[in-house]
Amino acid sequence: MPVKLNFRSKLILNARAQSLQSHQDLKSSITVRAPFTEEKQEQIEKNVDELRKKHAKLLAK
Amino acid sequence: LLVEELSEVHLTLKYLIEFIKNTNTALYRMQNNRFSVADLVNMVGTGITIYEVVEQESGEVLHKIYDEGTSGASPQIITLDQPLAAAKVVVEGNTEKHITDEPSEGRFVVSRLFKMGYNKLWVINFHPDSSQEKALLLTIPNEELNTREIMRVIHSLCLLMQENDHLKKGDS
Repeated sequence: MPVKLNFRSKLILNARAQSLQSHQDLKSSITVRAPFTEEKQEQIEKNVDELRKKHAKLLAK
Repeated sequence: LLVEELSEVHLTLKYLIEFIKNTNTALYRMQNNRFSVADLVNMVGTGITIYEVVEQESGEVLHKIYDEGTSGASPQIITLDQPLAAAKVVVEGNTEKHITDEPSEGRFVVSRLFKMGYNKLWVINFHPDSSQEKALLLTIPNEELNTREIMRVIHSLCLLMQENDHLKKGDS
């Protein structure tokens, strides 16, 4: 038989559920941003490679 | 079950009537130049902190401008990268949405963003704990009450308080 909750307990459970939801939303937003950060990192590495090549060509002249 | 539901409606009505009564008192106090954040605390039945969004060279930060009915331990300055409800509600930038947090068991923080006069943004944090039934009902949307109109009353009183404070500063 389910335990009966009084009014205050219901309000506490509601507050706790919303708090957990806020934490979940924050985690989701971090996960969504992660691929963007990886893409940016890859682009930076490519740029550095190109600059190295250009620098090597200049030194070779 | 019906009796239980009636009891919950009865309690909700009781707290709403208390809220209206305390709001009337607050309005009379405003007329007599005695209004302060303590009146808002009296209306919702829990401690309140208010932060203003301030632009700095390093970016936006929150400065505490009012702290009433709490332990006083809330930080004076909050940066937006901190894992706090007050910072998160500014980052999200939605004045219709609230963020609830439970920093320690049974102690809640409900943060809301408000557009204020003079192009200011305020974050109002309500600090109900698990013993404050009225505050849990009035500040966190629930099955009985969506709290939207409660927040509109708080907002309008804060706008008047800001205007009064601004006029007082102008006089001095």
